[in-house]
Amino acid sequence: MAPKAETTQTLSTPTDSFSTSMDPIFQILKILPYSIIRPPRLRLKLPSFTLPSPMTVFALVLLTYFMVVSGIVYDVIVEPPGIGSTQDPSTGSVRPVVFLPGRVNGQYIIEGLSSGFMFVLGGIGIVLMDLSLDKNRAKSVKVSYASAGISSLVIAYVMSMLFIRIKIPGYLRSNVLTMGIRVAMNSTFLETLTGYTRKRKYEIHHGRE
Amino acid sequence: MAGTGSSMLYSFLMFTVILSLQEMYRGKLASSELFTILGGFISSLLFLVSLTFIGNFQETCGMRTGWGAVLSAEAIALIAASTVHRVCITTCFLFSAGLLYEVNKLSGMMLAKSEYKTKRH
Repeated sequence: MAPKAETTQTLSTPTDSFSTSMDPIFQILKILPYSIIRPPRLRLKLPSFTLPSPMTVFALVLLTYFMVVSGIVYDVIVEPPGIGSTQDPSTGSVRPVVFLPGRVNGQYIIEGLSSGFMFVLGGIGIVLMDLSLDKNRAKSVKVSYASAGISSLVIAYVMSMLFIRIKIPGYLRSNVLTMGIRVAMNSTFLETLTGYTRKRKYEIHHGRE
Repeated sequence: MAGTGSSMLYSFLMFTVILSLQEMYRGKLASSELFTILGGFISSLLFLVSLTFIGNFQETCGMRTGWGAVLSAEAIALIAASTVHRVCITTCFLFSAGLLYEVNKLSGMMLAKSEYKTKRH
């Protein structure tokens, strides 16, 4: 409202409101170059932009959340392989490994993307449960929203726990079975140990020190 | 006040004088921090003068002066500032933004005055 009132005032008495302006640079500029030369006829308007719709902002935020949570920054910096491979010690065949086991601060690309997808799925489940509380919808729609939300939350939780149990064997579990798994994970260490002792025995047997 | 043709000539002459003075004292302007700010201010004067030149030229052609004239004048001034010092580019941009605001206000005042005169006659 204020600028409109000002423009009506300037239209009625255009010289007064500007000649009584308290802006010193304006007064200097009015006298020094522009009392001699003609000022350019500028009519600059600030370009106005419309705000994006809420769903666009939500989609962008969700995409950014997915990228951050799935460790795109780590993938760019460290450049890990998309999928790992390991050699089976008994048969000697090479088989692919999706999860980098035993290390919390490292990942393969596919692993990061899939666990990030699970986190986003859990978030979408919460959003769907919120949508199901909307009173303006039909009952069948609300029920389907609620069931989809709850099931996606459960799937996300179970899959995330599964992923972290693959990654850290025996996570939040301390019984004998997982201890055995943990020992099996360290079998490479044991192999080197036993190999070392065998070699040592061979050397002692042949009289070498 | 002069017409559009002579203001074009005057502003071009002032542009030449300011640019040659700035290039003459280039080493002095780049010598200390305060002088680099002064160099940016002088470059923004170049912006003012070249904007006047382009605006008057467009007025003789009957074109409207918009953001294109402002951007080309700003480019000229920034190139001139970059020959002096790197800091001059930044200060020139800031000073010329302030001057552009004032010139826009002044030109709005002039337009309102001329409209008022034509309405009264």
